[in-house]
Amino acid sequence: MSASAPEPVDLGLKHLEGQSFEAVTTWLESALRAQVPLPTIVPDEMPEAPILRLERGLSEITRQDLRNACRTLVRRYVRQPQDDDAYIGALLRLAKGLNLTDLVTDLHTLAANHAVLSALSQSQVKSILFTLLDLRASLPLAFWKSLAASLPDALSLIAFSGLLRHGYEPALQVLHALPDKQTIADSLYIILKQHAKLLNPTEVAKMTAVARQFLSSCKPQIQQALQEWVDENPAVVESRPAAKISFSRLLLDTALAAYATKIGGQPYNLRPVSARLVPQTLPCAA
Amino acid sequence: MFTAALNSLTADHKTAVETQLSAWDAGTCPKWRRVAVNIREEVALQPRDFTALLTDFATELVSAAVSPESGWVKACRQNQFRGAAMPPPLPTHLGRAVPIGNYAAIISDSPSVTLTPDVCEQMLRDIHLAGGTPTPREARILQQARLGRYVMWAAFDATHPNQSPFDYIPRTTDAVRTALGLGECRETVTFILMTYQSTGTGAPDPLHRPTIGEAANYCWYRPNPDAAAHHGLTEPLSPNPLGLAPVPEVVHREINGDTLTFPLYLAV
Repeated sequence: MSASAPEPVDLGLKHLEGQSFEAVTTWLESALRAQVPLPTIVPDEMPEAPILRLERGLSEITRQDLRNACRTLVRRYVRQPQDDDAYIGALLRLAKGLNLTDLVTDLHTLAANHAVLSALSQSQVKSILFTLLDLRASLPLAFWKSLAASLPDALSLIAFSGLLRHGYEPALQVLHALPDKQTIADSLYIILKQHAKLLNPTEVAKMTAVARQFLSSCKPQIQQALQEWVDENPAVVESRPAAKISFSRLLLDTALAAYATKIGGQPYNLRPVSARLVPQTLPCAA
Repeated sequence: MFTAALNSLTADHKTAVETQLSAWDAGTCPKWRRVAVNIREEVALQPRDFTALLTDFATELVSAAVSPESGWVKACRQNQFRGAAMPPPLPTHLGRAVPIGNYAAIISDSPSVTLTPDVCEQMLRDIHLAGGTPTPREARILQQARLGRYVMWAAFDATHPNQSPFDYIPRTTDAVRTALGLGECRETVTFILMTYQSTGTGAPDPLHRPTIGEAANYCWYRPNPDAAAHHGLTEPLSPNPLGLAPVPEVVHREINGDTLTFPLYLAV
């Protein structure tokens, strides 16, 4: 096959310009359900990706409509949480991509309702909680503690991630309850590794020291992952003495005087070390 | 092939399809013009499969329940994996280029994974920064996660079928998008270049020659004009300063990363 001249790139989302809010909302829902064609980079790209890539090219009013359409669809779902897993995943990833932090309140309300949450598919529970985590939502400690006690085994690590936002101690306290599974242990290690990168060495050392105390209470696979992380992070930070600076006023004055001579300007007048403390003589008013 | 399939439709259906293709031809959207060309140029479908695809499309058009474009996508979904299965010997190594954010979302979405998309993306970047070879824990996560969704498109190197196709394409976004003909891709996209084996537990089986059924509205697909070929071919984008050759491509069903090989590369 021979290369041909590139055709103009797709028309993007420009067809949304000038549409009513209802039309934008209807289109967005169909797009996220993969029912309308989208300009994807690769054929199996997720539907929210091209929307996030192209929405910046729209007029401000259409962008606002798109954001509000996303809000509307999320709120519709929160009111009646029954829908297709793939659609909900795409919708919530779009909300995160658009940084719709105000939806945190809605999603938190949904997630805090145990009766409703437990009736949802595992995929949708993951989507909701992942969105709250990736939107950096500041949710109450009690919420994550309650999830730690109620989420099914396979999802229990999500509560650990939420607790970690409140500090390592409440998170480490639930480690003993994590199921003894390789997949959970592997993910735990990744979460700890990435969390440690956000901390300064002293904080990491403190966290490591506390983590050691929880090792014995963990199940074998979890214990191994935690041990691995502990071993990779020093528990003690070497205290470094403050660097000593040797300073010679005489050498500085000599260098400045030599420089003044070299450039041929005003001669440099040596001053006493405490010169800056000596009150300057103010010129007298005429 | 298209003409034969079209002629086998009922008069109403034939008119509906012809009218819609003409509308795309005459329309302002180059993307749909190209889709119409692809439909006419497809030679990888058996006559009965082509007829079935066009019948489903015509049914959507006649019912007018959705737009013609959505109707085409819907019809295509009902007619996937109709291209011939690739006979042995299969290329042992297949490759996929996926935008990093998309792969992170796919990993995160996998049932066995409880890491958020952001954490998954950071993990992929960490692997890259560490030289591309994951730690045993990272490798297990990647192997248990999905590699793609629904229909997976994969490339291989016809001359070196036992090696990654990305061993022969410069690992830059520009080169990858050019070679694979990814026309929607901007230069700022970061790709994960993954390689996996076509044999062993969890390997894709079978590999199919791609058709318009999988491409649907993806206008950068080009039907391979060789009806006897066992695979598709990409059309490198112009201007192609490196003279990159078309890359053979196949499609297969969704699989996990059991047969992933490392290192994992990023193209930026």
